[in-house]
Amino acid sequence: MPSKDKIHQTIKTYILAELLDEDDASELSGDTELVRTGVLDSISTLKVVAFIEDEWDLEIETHEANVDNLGSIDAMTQLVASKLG
Amino acid sequence: MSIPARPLTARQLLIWLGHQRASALPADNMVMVFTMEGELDPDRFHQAFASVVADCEALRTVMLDDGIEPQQRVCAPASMPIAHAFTDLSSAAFPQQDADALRDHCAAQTFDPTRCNYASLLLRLAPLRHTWVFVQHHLITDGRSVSILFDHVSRRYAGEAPTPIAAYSLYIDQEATYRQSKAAARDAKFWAPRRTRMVEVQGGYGPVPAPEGPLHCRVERDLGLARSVAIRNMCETRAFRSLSASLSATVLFKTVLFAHLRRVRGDVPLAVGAALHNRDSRKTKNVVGCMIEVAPFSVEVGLDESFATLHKKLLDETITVLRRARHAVPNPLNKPVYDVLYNFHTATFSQFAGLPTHTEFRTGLNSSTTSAETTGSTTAGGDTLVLQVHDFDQTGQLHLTFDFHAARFPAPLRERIPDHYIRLLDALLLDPSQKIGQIDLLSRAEHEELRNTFNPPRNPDVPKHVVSMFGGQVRLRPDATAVRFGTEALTYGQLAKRVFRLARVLNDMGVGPFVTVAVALERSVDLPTALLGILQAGGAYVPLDPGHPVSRNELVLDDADPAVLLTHTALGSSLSLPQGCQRLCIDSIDLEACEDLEARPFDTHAAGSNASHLAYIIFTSGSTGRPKGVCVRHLELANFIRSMASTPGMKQGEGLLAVTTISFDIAGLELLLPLCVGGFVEVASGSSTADPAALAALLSKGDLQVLQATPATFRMLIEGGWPGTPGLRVLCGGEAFPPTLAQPLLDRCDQVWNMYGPTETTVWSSIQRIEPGQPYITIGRPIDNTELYVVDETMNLQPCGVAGELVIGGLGVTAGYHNRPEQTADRFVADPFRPGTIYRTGDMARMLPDGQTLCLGRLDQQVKIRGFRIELGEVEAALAAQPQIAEAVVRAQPNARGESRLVAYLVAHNSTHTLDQDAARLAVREQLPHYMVPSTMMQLPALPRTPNNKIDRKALPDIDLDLESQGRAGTGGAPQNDLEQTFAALYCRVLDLPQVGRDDNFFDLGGDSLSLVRLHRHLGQVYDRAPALASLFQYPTVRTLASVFEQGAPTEASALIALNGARKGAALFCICGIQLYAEVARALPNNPVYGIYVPEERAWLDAAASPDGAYNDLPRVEELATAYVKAIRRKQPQGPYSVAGVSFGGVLAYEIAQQLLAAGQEVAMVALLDTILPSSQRRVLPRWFVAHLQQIRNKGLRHLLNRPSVRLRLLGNSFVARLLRRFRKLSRRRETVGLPRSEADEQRDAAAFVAQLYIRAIRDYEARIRPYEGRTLLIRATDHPPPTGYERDSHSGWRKLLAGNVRCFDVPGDHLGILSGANAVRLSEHLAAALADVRPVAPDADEAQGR
Repeated sequence: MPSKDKIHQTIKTYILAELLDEDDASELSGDTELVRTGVLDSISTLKVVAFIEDEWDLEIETHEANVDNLGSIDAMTQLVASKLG
Repeated sequence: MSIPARPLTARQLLIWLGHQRASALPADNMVMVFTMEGELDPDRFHQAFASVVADCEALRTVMLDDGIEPQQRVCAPASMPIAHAFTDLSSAAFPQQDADALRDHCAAQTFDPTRCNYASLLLRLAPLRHTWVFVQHHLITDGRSVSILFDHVSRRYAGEAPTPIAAYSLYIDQEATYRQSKAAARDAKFWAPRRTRMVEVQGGYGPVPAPEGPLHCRVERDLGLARSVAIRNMCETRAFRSLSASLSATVLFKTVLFAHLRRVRGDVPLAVGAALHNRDSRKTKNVVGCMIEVAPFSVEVGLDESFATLHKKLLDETITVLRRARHAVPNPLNKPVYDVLYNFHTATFSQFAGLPTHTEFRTGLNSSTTSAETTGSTTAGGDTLVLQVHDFDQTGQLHLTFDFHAARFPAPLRERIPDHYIRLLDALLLDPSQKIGQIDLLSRAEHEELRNTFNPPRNPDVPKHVVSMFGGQVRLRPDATAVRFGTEALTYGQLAKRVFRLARVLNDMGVGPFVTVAVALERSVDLPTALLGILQAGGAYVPLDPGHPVSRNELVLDDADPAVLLTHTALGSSLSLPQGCQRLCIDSIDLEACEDLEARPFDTHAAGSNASHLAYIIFTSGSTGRPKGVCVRHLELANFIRSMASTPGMKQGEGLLAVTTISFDIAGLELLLPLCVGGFVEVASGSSTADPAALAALLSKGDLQVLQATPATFRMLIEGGWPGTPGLRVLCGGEAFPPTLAQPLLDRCDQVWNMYGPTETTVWSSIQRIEPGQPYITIGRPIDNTELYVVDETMNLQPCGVAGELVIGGLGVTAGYHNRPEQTADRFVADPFRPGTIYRTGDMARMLPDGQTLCLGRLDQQVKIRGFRIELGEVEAALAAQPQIAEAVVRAQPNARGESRLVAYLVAHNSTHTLDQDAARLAVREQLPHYMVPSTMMQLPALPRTPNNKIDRKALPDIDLDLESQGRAGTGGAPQNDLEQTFAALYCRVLDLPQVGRDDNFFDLGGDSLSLVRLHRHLGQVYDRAPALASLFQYPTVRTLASVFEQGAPTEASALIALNGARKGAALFCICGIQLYAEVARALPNNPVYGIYVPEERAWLDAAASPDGAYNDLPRVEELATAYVKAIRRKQPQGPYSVAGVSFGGVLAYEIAQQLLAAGQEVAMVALLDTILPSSQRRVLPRWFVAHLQQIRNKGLRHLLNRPSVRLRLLGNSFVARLLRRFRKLSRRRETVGLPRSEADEQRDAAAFVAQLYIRAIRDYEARIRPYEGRTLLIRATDHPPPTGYERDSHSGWRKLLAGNVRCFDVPGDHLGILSGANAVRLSEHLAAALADVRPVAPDADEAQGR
């Protein structure tokens, strides 16, 4: 199982590469509220979900696709780790 | 710089095809109307706009239409004029009106997508007020694009330099990548089952008599600040919060939308399309172009579930769909997957370069006008309802726009509907735990209207008793005629005496209040006497029709338990009477015996009878088959008679012709009404009631003013040649009034009335005078002291226009069912609106805005087929509207698998005429959704009817549904001829199916836009005259497609069928047989392999197959080869060519090569696949064919012939079919002379016949055969040795002819076996090697273009 750091880094790299404008990049940290602050909209968030599913070959159920699990990179990391662990 | 043409994205393709189908409708025009307050420089605006066009590829994109597959191309900025104009209206008299007109003109224009896809118009309404109308075809834009473009024009106008607009090609690439991805496969799998269970519009507000105005009529509502804040707050709560603020709000409004649809449409499948912007990466964020996805959302909604649970379901559904809805995967092409569109906008356009701006988001449909053409079809003109939520102007309050389809929403109701929605929204905001079914949709005014305006107050002053009404007339006019029957007549005085006398006799037999007397009389003057006599005696009559079956009458007697059976002596005593019931023959009483009228006046109280006493019990058919008795009291009867006397009305001296059996409650009107108003009743005899000429003769007397009957009787009269009766008022009821009956009746009478009412509410409860040209026939308004309401399952009043159950309250509501307390309690319930009880009719109805009620048929006549709710009456009406069909009844019948199927019973106008059921089905298919088209039809000479002349559904014969489904290869059976077979093969290839039936619908099989384009492309390759892509919608089955080809392309149409998907590499043309080469083609992935069909072959064989076997007229090998050459060169005009043929096909291939060479073309290769010249084994020639046949027989010819995919193995299946037919004929002839025939014999004969044709043709050709100098590949089948004792040369007779490069190989397998399985792979290796160095040629002009 990859370390949490590794998961965190992978997700962050993906978000930076695919979704965010460069000027937003410096402000992105693990507890940045992606959903509430509108850094990611719902379509983008679900794109991260699709990425996570492909990257670690796991399935995120619809009911898990909520703010608690996807609201920040930390939350996403926790979700992935719990699925892999 | 020239940008190459690109294919359309899947979404664009959907729009394109939609445009092709309905290019007259501006449905795909996205119209933005920005109104800016302040000073604006039009020149600067023009410059800003022009610079955006220069930067934006989408605005310069046009479509290329080569008739096969559309593409898109970006024009160079210089090559395209800027489609922008400025108009100053500020000095006009009415600038705003002018602006609106210009806006509508601009918005409703039809773009030619191959030229320009936008138009921009700046209008000056006042020096400080400007409106910018910006119209774009949806092909090049979407909501987010509009935001980006607005922002760019605004910034450039202000002199800023915004970030560049990203090119649409990014998205095209993204889609191409997606198509190859695992995600695409996952998504497709997710949508496959959802795509097939899609909705048709059912229920909702209605009906719409004549749509007018724009196709989409807009009604807007501001939600106000407080409500908008409440919505935002609710979206912040844990239960409603989702992945983004806008998603939370989206789902909240969607929840209300589904709740609303459920409330007004009922329990039907609901699906709402919602737009998602689909810009899910940084790269695509700034793309301008059509990226939007519209995905269908569907959930089941129960009336007893709360907003909270519905919201939870919709949140799940939304996230599920958002994860899967990409690149038009959810949208099949041919059918709407949703009919309501919902769009939650997050964009704002609050200022243009600093100027306050008001924004309207419209479509072309808001500006287009309706016409019969655009409203005739249920799907034309886009969605039935579009709901948008936005705050474009950033006011902090949300704004709703409802676009109502003009043909779907009645104009008078459109203003009310948003308020129904908002009432549900408010209920949710107040308390999400409230149940959806409990919310009151109606305003106070609507309540008032439905309860009191449409239902006038009751008049308490009603007569109590029909006997006293009759008595009044007796006193007034004792000498006036009261009853006539044939030549007999009774005056009021005479009738009264008889009534009195009979009452006395009955009283003496114990008849009094709540004692019943059964009446079974021949039609005669005694009928009114009997009824009034029983009532005068204080008893209640129970009418029996002596013509009804004894068993039924006995059931009635058992249940009613009468004290007396009143009958005629002549009727005999076949009925066995319940205990205690005495028989009384009315003709045995001396009714003339003196009764002193003056001394014993008509006073019902004398007999102890009052208004609440029972007047009659009438038996109607019960659902269990046992008739049930409805108990009608004097109050109900008297109220009814008095109401009828005023409307439709009957006056003293008027005559009524009574034709109805007394066992039907409507006879009460005929026998009692005239006698209560001082008129007279002419009782038609039993024989004349069914004799139109006799009835017409009675009517022609000229002194009859009223005739009441069922539609069937009126139809009988009209068909019997009744010319009409001046002054006659016609009351028609007992069944739904057939619209086709209206005009014929109006032509023949003074007044025509539609009468509606269940027996349970006393004969008629609602009436409507039919006028010429009414859009539809309603049941009108309630009679006196009667109320009609339309309610939902929980007794909420339905809004006007919404279907629900019709319930009836008032003084006509009867006491209920005799001896059936449970059924009474179920149907007769406490009136929630006024005192008393109401009766639930079980009829579906809509209340119209003018207070009339539209009856929609029985609730229990609704059936569900595959989840779709179907009103049988609607299907029946569509069938009966066909000119040759007089009557139609439809019912659901389960097949052997227990699935319900619709079956129709049809009666032709002319019963000797056999109806064309296919034609009827086709016609109905144009009017009804597919699931409403009966799968089976049966013609009957007449419909079975109950004694009351109503259609007896229970007596309809069962249809054997399972016969139909036996041995099907799909709907409609296996393809029937070459064309159908060819198309079936294409369907199979395109849709990846093993087989299809000739009537299987392409789209039902899973076809979508992409597969449709693929199919069309194949057709284009196969046929020269393929129909236009969009027209394929009209021919969605193998059968229809084949028929259009047969009509459009006469016999000389040839066909090339691509047998594999290869596009590059040298092509190989295979001769004589198509599917025969399928496996070889698959094993040649790098070379396009074509099978060829030439009709000349069929003509040639037809000639041969003619009964007298005109062999001498056989076209020669050369002539047949010429046809092939033509077909090949149509596909590939220039060489080098490679041709191959097996067996006889090899001979043809050889000649084809010769002809191509002679035409100066290069022939790269001719492959002779186990082609043996007869001369090579001249002495054993017949044996060769026997061997050939043996092989076929070993493989099972019967099997081959019966499997469409291999039918072409011989020569073309139509030929084989003809042969088989011919041999069957022959064999039948043989049977008649006593020679037994087996099927194997027939097959052997057929195959031998084919072989005979081959051998004759080759022998003939060999006489003229010329050497060939080109490269040749000679393949020999190892398992095809010459017969023992004979020799064949090593080159199968070709050695002396082949002068060029000849390579010779052995392939395992027998004569035809080299073409299948592992052998085909071996054979293909040789072919591939031979083709490897052949120069590929672009197969045809179409292919060459743009790729």
